[in-house]
Amino acid sequence: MATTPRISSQLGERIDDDIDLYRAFAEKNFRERKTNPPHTVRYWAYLLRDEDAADGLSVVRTPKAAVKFLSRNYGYGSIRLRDITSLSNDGLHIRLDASDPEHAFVCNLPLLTISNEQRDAAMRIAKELARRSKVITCNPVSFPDKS
Amino acid sequence: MSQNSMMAESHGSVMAESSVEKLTIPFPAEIMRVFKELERIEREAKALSARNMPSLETIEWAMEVLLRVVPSSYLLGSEINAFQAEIHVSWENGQSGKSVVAFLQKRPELKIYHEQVVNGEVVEHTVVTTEDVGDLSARLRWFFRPAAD
Repeated sequence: MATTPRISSQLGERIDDDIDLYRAFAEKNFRERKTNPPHTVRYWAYLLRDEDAADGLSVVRTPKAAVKFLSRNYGYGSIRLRDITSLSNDGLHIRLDASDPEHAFVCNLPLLTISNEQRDAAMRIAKELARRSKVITCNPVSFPDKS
Repeated sequence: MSQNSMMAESHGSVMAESSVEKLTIPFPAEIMRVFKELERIEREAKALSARNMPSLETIEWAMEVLLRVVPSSYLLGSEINAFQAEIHVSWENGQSGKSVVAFLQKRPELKIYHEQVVNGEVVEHTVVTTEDVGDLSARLRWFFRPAAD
């Protein structure tokens, strides 16, 4: 994944406000560009990687923050916070990054690589979150710093 | 003339009469596409020198499994992606709500996830681990089966 180093993160307080959260498409397969839009978010956008297991899956509160640490992106999408936390019996919740107020984590996502039960849950959740998300753009975006 | 239709012609009109036999006609274009996708993953893994990318052994295992999908027409519409050290081969049908994902990492193991969504609700989902490559073709029969069956 094309990233630039970010300051190490720390789990902060839990947020429950029903706000829009954004997730960058760091990989092309995080979204599908349709000939006839709407374009769709794919399950890969919500699969937790091993290196993110300690904190959770990155989401952010502004489009600009979504792509801030990526050296390239394929656009970004959004999802309502309650569309994540309302998934039944999965215990998903959102915590702020204590070192970056724009950054947060989806906590309690299962890891694909642990067991078949975890893989099943990870796939079901990732596919459901993808269905509940919407694509804002499939095109690379950048938000130049104001100086 | 496409490669598929050339292949169908070479098998003659008797074979073309039977829909079951039609399904057994190889789809060279699809097989080529699958190989090209796996080659792309191999190139990316080499270029990135990434630790957490599929190994050459995993790519060869994926090729072997996909070549053994019967009929090969089931490869139509499949999508091939790397996720960490795994290769995911996925099939999705928005109309039927069915999806299948094959996870490949270490020979001889194959994991298969399938799911069906009806009226926005997931009504069926599970992951199985198998060493029988034929189980993928069996699951794809379910995937391609019309809803009325």
